[in-house]
Order: sequence, then C-alpha cells, then structure tokens
Amino acid sequence: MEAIKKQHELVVSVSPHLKSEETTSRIMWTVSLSLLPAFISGAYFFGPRAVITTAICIITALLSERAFQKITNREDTISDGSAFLTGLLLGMNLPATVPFYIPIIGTVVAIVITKQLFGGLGYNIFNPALIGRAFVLITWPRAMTTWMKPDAAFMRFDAISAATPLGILKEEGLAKLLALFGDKLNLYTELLVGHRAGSIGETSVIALLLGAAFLVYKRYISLHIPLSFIGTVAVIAWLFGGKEGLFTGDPLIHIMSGGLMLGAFFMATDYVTCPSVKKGQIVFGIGCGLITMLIRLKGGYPEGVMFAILLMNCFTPLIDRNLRSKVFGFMKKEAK
Amino acid sequence: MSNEDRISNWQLIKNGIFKENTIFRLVISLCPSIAVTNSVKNGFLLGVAVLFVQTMVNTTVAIFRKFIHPKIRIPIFMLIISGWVTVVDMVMAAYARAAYKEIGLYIQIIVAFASILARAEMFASKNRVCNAFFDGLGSGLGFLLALVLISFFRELLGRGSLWGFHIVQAKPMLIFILPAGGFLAVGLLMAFFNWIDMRFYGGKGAGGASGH
Amino acid sequence: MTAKDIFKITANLVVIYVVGGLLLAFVYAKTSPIIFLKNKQEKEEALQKMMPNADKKGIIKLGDWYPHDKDAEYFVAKKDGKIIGYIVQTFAKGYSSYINILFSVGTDFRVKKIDILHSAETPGLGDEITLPYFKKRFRGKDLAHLKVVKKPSKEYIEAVTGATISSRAVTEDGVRKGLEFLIKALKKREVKHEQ
Repeated sequence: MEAIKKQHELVVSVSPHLKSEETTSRIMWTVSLSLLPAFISGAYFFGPRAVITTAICIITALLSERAFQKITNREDTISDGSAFLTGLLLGMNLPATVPFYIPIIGTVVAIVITKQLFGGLGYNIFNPALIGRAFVLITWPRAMTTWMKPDAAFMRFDAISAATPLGILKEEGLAKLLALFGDKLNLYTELLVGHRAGSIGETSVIALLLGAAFLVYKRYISLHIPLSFIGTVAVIAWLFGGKEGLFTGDPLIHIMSGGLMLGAFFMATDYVTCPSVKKGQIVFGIGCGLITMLIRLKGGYPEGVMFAILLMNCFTPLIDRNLRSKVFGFMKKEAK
Repeated sequence: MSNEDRISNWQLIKNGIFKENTIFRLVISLCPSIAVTNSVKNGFLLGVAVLFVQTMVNTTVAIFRKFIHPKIRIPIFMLIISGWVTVVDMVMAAYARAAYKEIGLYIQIIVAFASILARAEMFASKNRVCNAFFDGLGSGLGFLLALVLISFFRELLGRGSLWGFHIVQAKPMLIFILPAGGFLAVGLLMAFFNWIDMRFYGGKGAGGASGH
Repeated sequence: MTAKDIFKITANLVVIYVVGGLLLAFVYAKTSPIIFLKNKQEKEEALQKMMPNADKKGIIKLGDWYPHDKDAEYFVAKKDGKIIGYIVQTFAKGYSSYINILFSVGTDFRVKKIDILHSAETPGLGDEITLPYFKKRFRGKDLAHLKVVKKPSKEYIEAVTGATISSRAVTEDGVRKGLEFLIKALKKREVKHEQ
C-alpha cells in the first residue's frame, strides 16, 4: 500500500513520463548486443586491427567516464552501459587502419565533452559517438579517409588502401564503380554482404539489418526514423543521383553504401537526441535524409550521414516543442 | 564621481584584466577571439591594435565627456572609434606590412567590437581623463591577454608551433586552427577559469560577482 | 528639444568631424605615399621573382583580363629587348576561396614557375598548395600535361593528398585556363599587328 501511494505522488520530471520495467542499462546492453553481428562482420573483413580499434574505444570510454565522475564527485554510472555503447559505436564508425591515438582522443571528446560536460546521460544535445567521430574526422582528415581494402584474412596487420564506393562514385563516377565490382548485381551483393572498404561496422548491410530487426522485435526502436531517413535518401538518390538527368539515379547504391544503415537504425534513433513524438521522428528522419543527400551529391565530403544526424540533433527540441501531441478536448475549443 | 576618484589606477588595470576581462568574464567581442587566434602572432598583433584603440578612445571620450550632448553620444562615440581605427589601419598598412597582410581585414572590424563601445559608454563618459586612460589600458590588456592565451593553445595544438616556430613533432590537431576549434578553445578556457574561480575563490562563474 | 540643444548637437558634430577629419587627413598624407610605393615595389619584386632572368624594367604589362570576373593582368618579360617569356595572373575557384595565382611561362609555353599570391583554403589540407613541394610539380608542364592525377606522377600534376579540389582548382581552373587565355590573346595581338 505504502509503495503504491508513493508512486501516485506528484513527480515533476522530463519526458518520457511512462516507464516500464525496461531500465536504461537493459536497453543499452541490448543495443550493444544487437550490434554484435555487424561487429563480427567488420572483424572478419578488416582483421585484428578492427578488433583492436574498437576495443580501444570501449576501454577509453569506460575509463574516461569513471575518471570524470570521480573528479567531479558524481555518481558512478558505468554499469548502465551507455559509455560502453558509445565506445562501441564510435569504434565501429572508424576505419580499421587509424593510428591508435585517434580512437583514444575521439572517445574522450565523446564521453567528456559531449556527454559529461552537458550533465551526463540524458542531458546531451548531440549523439556522443558522432561528435567524437566528427572531431577526429576534422582533426585528422587524411587518416580518417584512408580506408582499408577488405581482405577477409585473419591475423593480417598490413593493409592495402582502397576507396569507399561512395568515394569512387563522387570522384570517378558510376562507370568506374561498376568496372571495379564487375556488374551491377555483383556490386549489390558485395554491398549487402559488406565486402567493401569503409568503417569497421558500417559495411555489412545484412548484419546491420539483423541487429536492427532484433531491436524492432523487442520494441526498443520504432521504424519511424529509419524508414523516413532511408526513404528520403532513396527518393533523392533516384531523383537527382543520376548523371543523365532527373529520375536516373540508383537509389540502391546510395542506401547500401556509406554509413546509412548504421546511422539510420542505431544512431539517429538514440533516445536522448531524437524527438520523442512520432510525427517529430518522421520530420527528423526526412531532415536527416535531405542533409545526407545534399552532402553526398553537392558537398565536399563523399559521405554525410554523420553530419546530417548531428545537424538534426540541434533541431530535436524545436521539433518536439512544435509537434507535441495534442491533448484531447483542449485544442479544438481554443481554435474556435 | 568623487566615489570613483578613490579607485587607484593600478586597481583599474587589474579590474580590466581579471574581474572584467572582456572575453572570459564579460563574454563580449567573441568574434575576433575566434577569427584571428589561429596563431599567437596574429592574436598578439590584433590585441595590441585593440589595446591602442581602446586606450585612445577612452581618453578622447573622457576629454570631451562634458561637451558631448547625451542625445547623440552613441553616434559620436562611433565616430571617435572609427577615427582611431582608421589611423591604426593606415599606420599599419604603411609601416607593418607583413602583419597588415595577415590581420588587415580584422583591423577594420575593430570599429564594431562591442568591448570598445562598452568601455566608452560605461566608464569613460563618466570619469576623469586619467582614470579613463587607465581603464582603457586595463581592459585592452585583458583583451590582449585573452587573445594570446587562446591563440597559444590553438597554435600549439593545431599547428604544433608557437609564433611560427615548430615545437612539437607529433601530428597536429587540425581542428584547433579551424573556426570550430576556436569555439572549443574559448569554451574550454572559459570553463577552466570559471572552475578555478568557483573552486578556489568561491565565485559564481562568468557573469557572477566574484570579488578577487 | 530647445534651441540650445539643437545648437549644442550641431556644434558637437561639427567639432568631431573637423577634428577627426584633420587627424585622418594628416595621417593619410603621411602614410599614403608610403603605402603606394610599397605596393608597387612588392608587385615588381613578385614579378621579378617569377622571371629572374628578365631585365630590370624588362617586365611590361600587356593587358588586363577577367577570370571569374576579377581583375587580373598579364605581362611580357624581355631580356636585352628579346622576349623570353610571359607572366600571367589568374584566379581559380578553390574549395573555400578564390585562389590568386601568378605563373610564368617560357616562349615554348611550358610553365616555369607558379606562385600563390593569396588563398584561404582549409588550413593543414588545402593550404598545402602554397608549399614549395606542390608548386615545384608545375615546372616544365605544357597545356596537355596540366592535369591533376591522384597518384604519384612525373608527367601530370600529382594532387596534394586529401586536397584534390584545391589542387584541381590551381591546376585546371587556374594555370591551364590562364595559359589557354594567354595563347589566344597573343594570337589576337599578332593578327592585329599584321593588319
């Protein structure tokens, strides 16, 4: 009785107000688990360097979170798994061949500056892993855009550098891309499997979809953001992606290459930094898609998923405020 | 005014450098603190230019303070500021050409710096010439110090050099000489000074009244 | 507002204008000849550096042209009255700025030297086009070989790693277009002379 009474006391808190038994830590660990297939495929294609880079990110994330909380006398929240997930996501967003100081500095920026300085989990404006990646991409552009050729060879430390499909598409065009992969069908299968140059965890579309399906089945993520994000990318790629004019682009290449799958399912859907209303999530997804394609087709970088999500993160409070669901019986009267 | 007279000149200078530091305490004129601070040399040169303009403007305004009609004081302050800025601009173009090539564009923008007009309006128009001179000196020095400090970190991290001389052999962190890194550097330094202030002097951070 | 106020405001403005005007006029009178002289001297030095062999006063302006709607000039360089080459100033659209380029060619229209007068490309990446190692790659290239490639090459211009856009701007939008213009302009002059 006492316990029930306590629950019914008025508590002023930020949204979401309805809470189930799903705790933060359970969600974080499940999301981490769902990234496992993509991580394994990354480790398979890019070898031990990929595993080491990701491990450095995770260890640095845990250490820097603990260190910051110790210095500032805050509660120890390492076990909620959010630092682990940030480290894992950042690691999977880096090329396998980066020098070891890059994951370390990127993770410190992600955890300390992006998350803890803003007040810890739940108060950060931007997705920490993406800010970490943006920081190292701008800081060491050369190392961050030198990709390794996927070789599927275990225990290989030397790497041949190769361009990503989007990089080739931007610099040399579709014909060169097709020449490299044989024919179109072969290109699609290679992209689906993940046998291409890119960041550790972004290449294998199948593995990412597997993890995403698990999350959707568990109802940890809804499909509003991923579908509107990917849909917008597809439409714009079809409309403007082709060299011969309107409606000649190839949406499949744009969907399956770059960091779109990883970004749309695992990073744009981050609870803290995406809108909480469904309508807002669709707006958020469309915005991400628009910015991504703007950067891919017109910008200086071949890939724009990261910047797109970060830019839309800024708009999250605005979207939430303006598309808040209406309370029954109140709005109509005022309108008249 | 008799109250103001008791403040010593040394206190006025200290006040401008620490308690009312243009960038770290008053948080105004942030544009130049990001635009020119990608090398210590540029930061220092612009700081010196601002120091000169600030001191001269304060002195001029204080000299004319009883003569200026309150209704048109702001346009007149602007005229005085732009006059002195033009003088600095022309002198630098003639005698310090290498420096002028680097920061010439920003010299002309000094006209629009909030800090200079703020000091003229807040202090110089109400105080004696001598006090106004030292107030301008103090706040100009504070600005110079802040610019040098910011550019010190940015050049060291972003280029691995100081005043153009190579020091660190490691790969520099490019972001710190780009504008984005300027915001980061200013923010982190400001946070650092606020932390020191709160931790050791019991202050309340930027904007709060901290008596040291 | 009383008549006294109006009078005072007028007096205020007049005094400030007159005093300020006098001060500025004085400084301008002192500095402007120096600025003018130094500008001219610097330009001559820059041109002389492009063509060290040419006589002093041997570099003569041929005319103006307008790449990207900006004012640029081109010159002929002479030694003992004989033409030994040409110098062209041009602008190229880079990644984040218009790059102001000066380059010299011999009478065979092969590039001798290039120099970047002004650019604001990304520090640490694009602005490496101003470094000697990149500028040296232009020596001896003719029209057909002013092309950017992304791998080490002696024949063509190798791009600065990670800064293909800036390298391409300097090479193709800048020097190659400038050279094309120069050849065309010289032909036109010849036709005019013959008539």
